[in-house]
Amino acid sequence: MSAPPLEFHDLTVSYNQKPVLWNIDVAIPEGVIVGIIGPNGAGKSTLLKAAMGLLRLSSGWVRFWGEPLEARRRSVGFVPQREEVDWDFPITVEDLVLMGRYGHLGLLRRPGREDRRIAEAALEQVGMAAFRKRQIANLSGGQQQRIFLARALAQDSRLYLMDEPFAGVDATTEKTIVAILESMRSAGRTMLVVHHDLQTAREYFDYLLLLNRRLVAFGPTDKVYGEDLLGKTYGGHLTVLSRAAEAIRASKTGKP
Amino acid sequence: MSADDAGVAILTREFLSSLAGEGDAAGAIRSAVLGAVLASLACSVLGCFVTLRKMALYGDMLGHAVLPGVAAGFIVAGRKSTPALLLGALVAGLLAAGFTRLICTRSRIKNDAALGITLSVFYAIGVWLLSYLTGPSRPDLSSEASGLPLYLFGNPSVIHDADLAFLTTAALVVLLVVVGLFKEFQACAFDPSFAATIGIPKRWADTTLLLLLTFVIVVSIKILGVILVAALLVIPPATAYLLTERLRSMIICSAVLGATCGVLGAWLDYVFDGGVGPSIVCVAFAVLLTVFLFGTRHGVVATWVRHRRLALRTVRENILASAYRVRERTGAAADSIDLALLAQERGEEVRATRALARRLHGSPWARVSGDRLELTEEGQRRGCNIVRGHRLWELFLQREASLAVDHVHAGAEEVEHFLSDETIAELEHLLGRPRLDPHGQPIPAPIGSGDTSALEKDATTAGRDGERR
Repeated sequence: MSAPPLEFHDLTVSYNQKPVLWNIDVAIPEGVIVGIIGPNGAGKSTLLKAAMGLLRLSSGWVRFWGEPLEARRRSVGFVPQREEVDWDFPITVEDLVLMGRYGHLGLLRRPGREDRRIAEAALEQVGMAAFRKRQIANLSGGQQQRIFLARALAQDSRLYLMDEPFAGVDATTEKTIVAILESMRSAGRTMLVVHHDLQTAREYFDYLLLLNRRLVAFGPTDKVYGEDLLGKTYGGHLTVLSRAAEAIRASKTGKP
Repeated sequence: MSADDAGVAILTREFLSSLAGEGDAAGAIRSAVLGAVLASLACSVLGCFVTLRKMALYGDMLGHAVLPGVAAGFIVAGRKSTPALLLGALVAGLLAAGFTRLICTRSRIKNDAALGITLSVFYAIGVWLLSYLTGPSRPDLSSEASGLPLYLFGNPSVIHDADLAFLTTAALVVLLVVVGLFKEFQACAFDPSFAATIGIPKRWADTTLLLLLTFVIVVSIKILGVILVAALLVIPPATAYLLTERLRSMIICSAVLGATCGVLGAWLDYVFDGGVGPSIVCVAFAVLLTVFLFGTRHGVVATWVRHRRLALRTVRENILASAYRVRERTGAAADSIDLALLAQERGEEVRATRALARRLHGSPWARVSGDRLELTEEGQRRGCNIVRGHRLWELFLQREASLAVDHVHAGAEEVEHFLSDETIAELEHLLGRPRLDPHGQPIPAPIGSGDTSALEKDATTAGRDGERR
């Protein structure tokens, strides 16, 4: 069997010396939509950022198709949270989507006609082509999320890590996004999606990754839903973990 | 023309002729103008990224922090050698940047405080060194060092060819880097996380920007002074930011503004003295203020006019809608409504209604004539559409948003002025072509559609509902 698109091995990540993710071991199969589910502060975004090399790992490793990120950068696309950017930035919808092509261009190279065509097609796919000349501040939350998705599509990657793509969007946009994810899946792509709504999670995702500081469960949605794992994810039982993390921080920073 | 005006005209003519003229005096003016333009241009272009990255204070800090480097360069070289002074300044700038970072990473002191600390400490050391070098304690140096305080405020009259060469290099390097690395800088400034995931690390972009910034500041301070150099990194880019919606246009706009301010500042200084740096900053601010007030998109005046227009439209449309309701209730003629009936419908005194109705003058919809409001066909149609939109919206709120009947009026009162014909048609379709609104009032078909049943029928049910509208 070929190497999985994404594999975490004994991953531990800390913020300010305080571990927020402990010993994550999981291998994501190809061609599925995985929902990352867990309460606030469970480390869902941290997991994605650690995978993308945006955070330093305290221990463990992340591999993409058996290789480090550096070797497979073009095959992996990242969709940050919408709140992470300044939407007053002087940039049009079209230019933002074109940014998805930047990873395919060398230093000093500018996007060419083919790149523009791909960006345009991505905009069509998310139903935002009519807005291409708009400055991005003049868009609703759902539209902003859709052009983030278009940028990801323009990246033409095989694996996507998406941080809360459903946050702050209306029901119609949510359906549109789900449809786009499904069409991406039929094209053989793999997606990891941070999500906060348990109700819809069951409907949207093929696999669930239940996270609360540590990996609670990973498996096909029906199976994960069947057992009493959700209670375990959202319920307590974490006080020991938190207390240990706190103790590590205190002793490393010298602050009580 | 007053004597002062004549003086200004003469000096301006002198200034202009020296730009093309020959001789040492003309050459000095030319150097000053060229220096001012190059420095302003380089600062304005780079400033776009500085402000978008929210690093404006960084420029201020670096401007102040290079001063001890100038003094140190002088001490090492033993004379005012331009390369030595610039090298000293460059080193001081980079040290200051490192010092700031050190404070941030090794303590809980936040970025802005760290910048403030670095700025003041480095500046203090710089001023101290300059006072020492030019003061009575070092008579051997003071004559040679006498020009150094120029760096505090800048003075283009002492711009030499070497300075111009450095300035030209700086401007060219900035332009080349900004054009060549446009996509990398853009990605990093807009979305650093995303940029990092496609292989453009933030630290790499930060370092490049920092090096360029230090270089540009260092070569510009002799013209602009250590204090005012930061203004050129912020004001033209901020002006351009108000005017443009794409980074490329913002940079071009900022460059043009910067260069123009450079020329005008040099002229202003020549005519009125006051120094080139302060003159450039004043011109740049005047431009910013003009754009802030009169900019077509975000300008204060434009916004005010927009609001006034909207308020006027609302008043006018409300009168037209009232006129429609009068006609609906009384079966009065559509093109001429008694102001007394209108006032009664609106629950106002006739005088108040008359004043509001007069505001329709100048519109294609209606005008007051004697005691009557005379409506054009277009005015009747508009009034009908407002009522139509209002009632459909009320029904929509009641059905789709499950609002109580007594809650829907206020929302509809505002929205009615913003509903396009298409939206109204869509609403109607969505609600299944309803005939009555939540208050039992008929929803009219648009005038001219041939369907006037609602209006005719309503003449009979007039005033049935206590809550009109």
